Amino acid sequence: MSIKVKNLSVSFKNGVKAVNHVDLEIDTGVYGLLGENGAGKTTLMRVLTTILKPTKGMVSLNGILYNEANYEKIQKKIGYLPQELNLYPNLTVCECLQYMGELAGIPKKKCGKRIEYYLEKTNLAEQQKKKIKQLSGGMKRRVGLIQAVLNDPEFLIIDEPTSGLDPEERIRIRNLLIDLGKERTVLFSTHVVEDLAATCYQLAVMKKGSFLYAGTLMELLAQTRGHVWEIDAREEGQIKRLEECFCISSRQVTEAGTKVKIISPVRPSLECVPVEGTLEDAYMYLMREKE
Amino acid sequence: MKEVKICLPAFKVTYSICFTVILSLVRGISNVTEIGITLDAYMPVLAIVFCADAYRMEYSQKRWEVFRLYPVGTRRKTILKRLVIQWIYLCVLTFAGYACFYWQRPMNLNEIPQILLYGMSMGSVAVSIIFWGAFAMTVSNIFGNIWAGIGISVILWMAAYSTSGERILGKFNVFSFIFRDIADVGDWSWLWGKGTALVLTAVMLVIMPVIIKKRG
Repeated sequence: MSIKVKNLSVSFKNGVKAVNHVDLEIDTGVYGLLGENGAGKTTLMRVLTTILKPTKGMVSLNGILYNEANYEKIQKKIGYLPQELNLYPNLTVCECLQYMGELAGIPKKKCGKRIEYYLEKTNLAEQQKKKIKQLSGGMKRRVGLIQAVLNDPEFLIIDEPTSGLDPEERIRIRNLLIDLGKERTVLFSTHVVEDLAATCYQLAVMKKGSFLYAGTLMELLAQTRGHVWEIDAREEGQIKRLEECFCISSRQVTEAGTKVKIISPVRPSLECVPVEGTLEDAYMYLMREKE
Repeated sequence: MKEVKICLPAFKVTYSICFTVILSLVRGISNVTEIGITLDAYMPVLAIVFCADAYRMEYSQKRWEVFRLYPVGTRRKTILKRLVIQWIYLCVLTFAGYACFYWQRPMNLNEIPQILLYGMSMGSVAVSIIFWGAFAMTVSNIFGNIWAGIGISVILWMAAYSTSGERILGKFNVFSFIFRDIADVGDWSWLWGKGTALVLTAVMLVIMPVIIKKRG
């Protein structure tokens, strides 16, 4: 499975360029899309689902070009969980999934088996008789994920699946994505860095419609090596001065004071030690470097 | 059954029943022939509000991104199913609502057999419900907005139900049953209006896939 995006641009009628000359190549596995709110992640995903037509550029899925004649063929290979999805509130979990399976054209028997399998896998088997409106946010998200994989898609597109969820639910969804990524391509967008660190091998970082980085997680982390420093700040005044001069990626209050992590391409002329950067540090470094 | 649960939620059932009961309470009638006329005039308003969201509910309830990935043929069938369920429900409500007017003890001044009157009235109201329901849904789909669908349909309903509407459209008016000569039992010219409404409904249903493909 491979998705190729070449020189893709999306402009809206109001003149906003949501995606700007993007190139991307994705193979099997979980691919992360990271970026601040409004970076263009959702727009890019909508193009990849065929919901939105690009202004410029070329997209192909396993060699099938994205054009109107091929849309129906492509749509059959895609599973999509949008950022906001309100499932049918008056249906039970099972009814809702059966209904969506029917709409997707999956044979009844096959659909029933898949529903059973995924309900078990997502720990929702006990909730299958509950109405959608009675479920918690995390459970609804999991049901949303099941509807996206019901047609056994080759390309699964998931837009911010963990936003607004508690830590336990987030971990559950992350693990599920890893499992799903073993057999197919999963494109997963988020602005929660930890989620990407836990699931992806490859990622792209977006800002204002363009890619700041596209490659492996390791390479991104390697780029920050030697640019992340830790300082023990003992007074509030010192932290304020650091904030004025450097990009601070984290502050951790300890018994001895505050450990401040700063991003700087050169060693600050302060008492500091170089530390291994996390994906969050790498993201901050990238954002700062491209400003 | 799933489709019924989707397009007939509790709030819709509640307000539609309230509408019918209140109509029978506030609209004074003295002759049984007026029951059919009243229902034929006002049930379309309920049909407009009721059916306008047959497709657009996927947008207002934030499911459109997933719904749009289903084949156009499946989407068309689904919307049709919803529309038919809503039509049937409204017709059954009207058929039952007819009885509500009898608390006013209307007289049968024209001495037309009650069963014939009931059959004629219900046939006429059913066509009106079908036409106005399909019309509201079509306009909603074209403008991509439920309120535009309801607003434009209500304006058109007012125009068709007016004296000018009667004069301009004549026997081809969808409300031809209302404007017929009640005293003339053998006057079936109102069927032209109902026939026109059915033809227009068929046209709207035929072009529906084109609209949903173009408008998303």
